[in-house]
Amino acid sequence: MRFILLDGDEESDWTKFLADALAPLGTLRVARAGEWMRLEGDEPDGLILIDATAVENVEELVSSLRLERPARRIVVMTASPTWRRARAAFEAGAIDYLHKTLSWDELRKAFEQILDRPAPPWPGSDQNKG
Amino acid sequence: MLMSKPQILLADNSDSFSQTCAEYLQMFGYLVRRVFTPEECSEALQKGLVHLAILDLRMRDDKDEMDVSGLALAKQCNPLIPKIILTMFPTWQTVRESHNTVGSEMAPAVSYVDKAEGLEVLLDHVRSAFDQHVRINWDLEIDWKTNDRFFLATAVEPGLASEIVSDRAGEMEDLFRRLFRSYDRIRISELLWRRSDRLALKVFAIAKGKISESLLVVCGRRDQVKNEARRYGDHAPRSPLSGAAALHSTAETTHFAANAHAAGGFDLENVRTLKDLYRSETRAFNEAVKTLYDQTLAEWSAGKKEIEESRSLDVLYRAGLGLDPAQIDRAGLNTKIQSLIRRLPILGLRAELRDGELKLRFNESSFSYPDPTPFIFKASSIGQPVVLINAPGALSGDNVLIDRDGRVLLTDFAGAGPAPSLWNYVTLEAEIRFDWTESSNLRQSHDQEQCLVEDNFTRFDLHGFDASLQKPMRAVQQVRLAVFNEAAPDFLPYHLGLFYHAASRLVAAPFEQHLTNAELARMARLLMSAAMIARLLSQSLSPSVKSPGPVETGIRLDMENFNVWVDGAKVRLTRQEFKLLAYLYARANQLCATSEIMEQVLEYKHYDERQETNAHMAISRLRRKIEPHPHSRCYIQNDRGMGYRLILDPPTSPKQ
Repeated sequence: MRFILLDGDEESDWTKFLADALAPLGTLRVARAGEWMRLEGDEPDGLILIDATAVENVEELVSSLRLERPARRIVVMTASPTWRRARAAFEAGAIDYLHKTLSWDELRKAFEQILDRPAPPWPGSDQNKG
Repeated sequence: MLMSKPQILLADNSDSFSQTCAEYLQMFGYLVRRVFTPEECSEALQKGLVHLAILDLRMRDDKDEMDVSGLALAKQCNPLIPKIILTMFPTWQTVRESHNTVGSEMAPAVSYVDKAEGLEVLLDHVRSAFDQHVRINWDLEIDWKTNDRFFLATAVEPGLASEIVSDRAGEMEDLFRRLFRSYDRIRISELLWRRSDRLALKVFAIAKGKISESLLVVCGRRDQVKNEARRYGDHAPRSPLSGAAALHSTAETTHFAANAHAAGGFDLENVRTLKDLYRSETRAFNEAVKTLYDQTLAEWSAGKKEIEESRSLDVLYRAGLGLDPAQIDRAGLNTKIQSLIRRLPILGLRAELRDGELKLRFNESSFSYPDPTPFIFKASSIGQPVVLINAPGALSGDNVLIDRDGRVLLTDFAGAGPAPSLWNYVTLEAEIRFDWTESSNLRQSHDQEQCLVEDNFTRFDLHGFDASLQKPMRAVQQVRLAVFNEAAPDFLPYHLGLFYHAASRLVAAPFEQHLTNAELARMARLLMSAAMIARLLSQSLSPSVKSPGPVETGIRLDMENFNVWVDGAKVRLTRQEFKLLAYLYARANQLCATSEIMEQVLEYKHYDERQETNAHMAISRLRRKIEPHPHSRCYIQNDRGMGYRLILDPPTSPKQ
């Protein structure tokens, strides 16, 4: 399993911490938003992580990714979660919205749960039957 | 056209807010039903007609920070209904939980709204939820003809409480609006068949700018119809010759589901059911049966034969018919049969079921068979090892369609999957024999069943039977000609299947005091057939369970059709032999002089020794036919030098 962190700072402490925390589950790679597709060929089921602090407009990025890759699972992570931003992230197509915790166990548990579940049926897809 | 409106369930413990909110949404065309507790909400979500639910997060106590009863309901109840979580206390954690898909493919909620955002924002979220998640074609014009939504709902869910019939009818309408989301108009035409939980309809659908499409729609109880779609997907061959129309689309609601099959090249307006052909066009029926077995079902079973490792044939037959011995009320079945027997004299049959024996007495003869009921519960080793094929399910006269070109279209796939190799044949014969045959003449029905059980497997002597019995016998003959190579040389596994078909119909027959004569005759036929096959089966079981033995005794003549039965077995005589026997029969137990026989039967005007020898030889030929074995009873006695005497009730001791 590959985790692709978009627009993250490869050298930041948080990125290193996240890579270590996720190591038992897979490899974390960092990519620019425009370049990430270069990596996806290696890992079609890879999870896309968006660090909200590093992106100007999270919802726009999630929406455009969702449009390009409808089946791709996207997780938004933030140090300062709010209910409005959480709602916006989900409405844009994120599969989860996580607090940037410093607990390895919490992080790993959250990602284990995410990896266990399929991408939800998105509006307009054939799976979705209201 | 019946109008369907979007219905919202609003669950909030604040009456004033709920009232305001409901009035606001109603201004925009929504029907809003209000509930105030999680319990009321849960019931409404399970039973009522709801397109979208708005759930207050704290439905029990606004002051309780731990109260997430609305979210808990959203997680537990009816994932088919999209939900909006509404709250005065928004947090990012409850947003996350509302959208989290852990443990389910669907998130508990599709949206999350803070009450403080105002009703306009709520309306936006409601509209968005309807657009994206309630996939109903509100503008579809539906021409229900005679099969309106109330009829369809109650047909697949009989016994509905009156207070929920209207909701279910609305749900049935929703089902068609979901199924035909991309169409402008549909016409629901003929009802093809109906089972306890499903039914099939012809539907013609029109979308602007496209030609009308013919679709076969199976709708009914949700789980059963979804199961049918799954079985179709798993087992239906993709070959166009398989008669399995492609699955075009599916839809579901809380209680119902529907599968639409594209009829492809079939002109659904002009197809006929197999039973229609049986009734009116014998030749077309025969050809359809041939195509059905030689082509359609051959495609289904092509290369898919396997040996069943664990279950015996009787277990498979019973399972296929839903005949679970553990679920059968033996005492109730016995009571039902005794009740049936008490009413049979009205149809000219005196029957008795006692001590494991079924005795049948018609005017002139009697028969004895084993009680068939114990055989329903017995394990059997007949037909081992069992060969399984891939089959479409239960064939019947109404679920097999034939178009003008003689092509076959199958319509019911609820039982699709592996089945015993004779299943397709046995099922259709059972339907012809036990459901389509209409005769209140029990004596003839008895002889018909006897012929089908005991005579040659494919060649029946139809003389002597009424037209109402000849027709089903000819139809059965077509089925048997198709199965002959598969079944020969041991036909017992075939009869075993028919036994369980007869038994399952007897078990399922309603126990009613006021049966019509036709219904009574049908049940009697089932009982007689089951008993006759039970006698066949008993011969293959251990001696301890063998039948109490035959049978009709004596000689019986059918003067009109020149038929003769001796000790229950049909005997084929020439015309002269029949005339001779009839002459002796008319003078039973009396001496008939040889000269008399020569004059009256052989019609010699003058006779000498040569003619007398001819008379003796004629008697000899007749005796060989009616007394074929050394142990046969001696019906014709020779009074040496004087003539012959027909004894109707001779002793059973072997001939000397």
